[in-house]
Amino acid sequence: MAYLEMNNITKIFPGVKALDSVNFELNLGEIHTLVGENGAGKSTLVKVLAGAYKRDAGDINIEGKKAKILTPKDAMKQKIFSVQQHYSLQPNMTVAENIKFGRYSSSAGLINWKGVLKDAEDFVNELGFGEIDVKKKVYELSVAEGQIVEIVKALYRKPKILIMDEPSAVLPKNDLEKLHSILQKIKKDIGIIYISHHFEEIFKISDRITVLKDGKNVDVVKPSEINEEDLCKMMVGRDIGDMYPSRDKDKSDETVLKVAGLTTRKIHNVNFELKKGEILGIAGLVGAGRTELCEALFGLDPLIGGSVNLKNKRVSNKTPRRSISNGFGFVTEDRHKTGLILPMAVKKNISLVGYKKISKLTFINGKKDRDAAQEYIDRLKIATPTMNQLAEYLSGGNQQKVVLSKWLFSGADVLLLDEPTRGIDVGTKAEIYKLMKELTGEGMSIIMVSSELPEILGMSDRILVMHKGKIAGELYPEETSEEEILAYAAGLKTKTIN
Amino acid sequence: MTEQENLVINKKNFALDFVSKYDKYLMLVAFVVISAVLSDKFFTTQNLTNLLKQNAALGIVALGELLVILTGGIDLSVGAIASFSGILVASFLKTGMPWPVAAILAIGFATLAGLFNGLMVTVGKITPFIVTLASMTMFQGIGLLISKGRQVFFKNPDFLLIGREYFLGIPLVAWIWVAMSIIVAIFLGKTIMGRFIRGIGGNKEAVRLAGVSTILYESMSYTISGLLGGIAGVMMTSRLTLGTNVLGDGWELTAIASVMVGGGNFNGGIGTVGGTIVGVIILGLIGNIMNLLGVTIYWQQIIRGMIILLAVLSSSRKKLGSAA
Repeated sequence: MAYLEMNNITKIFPGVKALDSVNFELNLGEIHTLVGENGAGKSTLVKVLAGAYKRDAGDINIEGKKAKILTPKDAMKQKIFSVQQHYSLQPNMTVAENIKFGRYSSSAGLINWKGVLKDAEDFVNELGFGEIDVKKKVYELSVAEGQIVEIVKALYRKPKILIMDEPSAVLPKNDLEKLHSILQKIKKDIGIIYISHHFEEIFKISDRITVLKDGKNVDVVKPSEINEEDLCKMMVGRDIGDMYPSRDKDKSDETVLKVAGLTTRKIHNVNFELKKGEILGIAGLVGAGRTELCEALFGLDPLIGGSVNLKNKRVSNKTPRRSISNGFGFVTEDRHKTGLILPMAVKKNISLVGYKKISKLTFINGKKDRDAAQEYIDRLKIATPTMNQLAEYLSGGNQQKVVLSKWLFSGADVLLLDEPTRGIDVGTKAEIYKLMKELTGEGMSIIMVSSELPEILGMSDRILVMHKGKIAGELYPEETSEEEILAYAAGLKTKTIN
Repeated sequence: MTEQENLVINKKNFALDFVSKYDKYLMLVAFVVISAVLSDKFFTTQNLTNLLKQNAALGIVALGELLVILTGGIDLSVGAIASFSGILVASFLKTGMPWPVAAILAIGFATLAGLFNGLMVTVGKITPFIVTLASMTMFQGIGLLISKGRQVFFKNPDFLLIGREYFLGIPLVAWIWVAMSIIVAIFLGKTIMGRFIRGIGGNKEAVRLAGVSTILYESMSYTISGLLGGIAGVMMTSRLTLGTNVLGDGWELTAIASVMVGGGNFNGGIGTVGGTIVGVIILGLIGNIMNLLGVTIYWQQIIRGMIILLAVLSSSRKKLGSAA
């Protein structure tokens, strides 16, 4: 008998059956991966298990006995802890306080802060994350460091069941590898549920894989019994064919964008050119200045030096408004924080940037507004019951399509894409790649920042690798490899370009 | 496919959706029915007219409050702005100024007061709660300074007609409320400006990255709140026939409660004109029916507070259940 059995779990949200009689089991000592497209119900299932959502039907059994899990507290009593995609840390407390939160060592009712610090430090070192300073406040940490603290905090509570909801969406590659080896080390008497979109990772760490689609079970498989292609087919329910569209042979020689000596507080002397219809991939480690380069180009960070020329005309993008009217668009890396207005209709999000096209003297032309929304819902195949659905109720992939639609509707010569497929399932990814090719075919130029090397290699016409705010190398996808890109990203190799 | 399945489920939940979408309106109907059953004086022309007269000014203030709450802010100073505008119009009238000029001047100063709030929030980058708490005290102080702390009497029979006149059997002040509501509803629903104001509360950064000046639109919402507070103050002064510093006392809280009862949310981006009107009427009804039944003022306060909590509780539960 499995340690954990979830039987016929059903969860209904208004208008959507997120889980439809889903079964799932987990043994101690196993890493059980949950895979599926966005909206397949992976996160909902683990949230039911963690007591964050109340299920509408179904049972949860632990060691063969019915377990009452209706609130997060119930789940914690059963030693179920989860590491969420979104933060659960207190930003104004130190790392040590967060790790030990609610479990402070005390004497005579007073917290022994020295003990708290020491315990936390020992525990962090034991796990091999010695580089994390436990005295630092959480708001001072990078996203990746925050995610590590989140994991440490969960492990400190000695879980029986550990839920990891897409750590690969936020952790850089080297930390992810460290996490994998830790999970292998600790899994002896723990059952680990792991959600991931990355095939490499799924095949590397899983003992078993449960595939969900549209809130229903598809199958449970062992990684040794299946290959990537078949797993992908199971998730998507169809053959997606080639992930990356083929590269066009004949490229325009027309230079659209020329960046010279671009310098801000975060990036130094960045030079490059962008051709019409080109996809320029920007690779590098977290913190190398890739997002900051986009922000500098889009006028979110003041320039200290350098120039930007668009179609042989010098442009000064001091504010987003100026950048947009100069023909730039910026799909940011975090669609929830900076991309979408979540409590607003899909329709209104789509026309947010190109509002001038649907209005005259501030008055909205309802028909133009609806037509524009319908055009992009059809073109990008956005799955939404109506165009008036609030953006927050869409799945991640569809939300990203709304963000893209917004910038496509306003129209741009140069589109900056920062991690365009982060946290998005393979099917939608392939659609977005196809769209990017269509757009460049129509003459748009794209600068794409990505942490996924296969994406960089598969999509870019040319690759720039950044290291510590500078461009460390310029590479061509046909002639390079993941290893070479990493060597440039880590600063082991440099090649100056003009 | 997913889409089709979703649509099927949508149809099944249609009745449920209908209830949850129009819950405020159903609640209003329920209150009207209960009131009619409890007191036979409720459905008299005089009582209904009184109800409208008493709540029209507050209803206008609540519209301004809605705009501010939509941006994710709060305006605690609207009551003080209304009092201040009332004192101003009374003082101007006392000098013998023609009433339209006096009213426009008073409303103009109230608008400037709103602009002041807006600039402090946007350019000064101070939390709306603190800004309007401080400016509430300031505006009250200015009102007291002008009136020397006394009531301001004036003689202008034409001006008093605003509060007394009827049109098609309905008080003029109620017509003004209706007109303002329509204007604000059009502003929010049919203009880009209104969409940006709502968007700022939903996600300010996304609006900024869309090349929109958030400073402009956030300031605009406070300024309009000041303007509407000014109109309400002038209307109420006409009804009271004198200028008084206690005219708008507590209005800010009732206005905020009305927006919340009507489905608004302090997180911003959520709330409607229709809901806010319903909120004002429900809160007004409760007071009205309890007065008719002779419930003491102490119990009235307790019951009113409970109903505000219940209304907001029901809408926040709805939100929790749908967190996908």
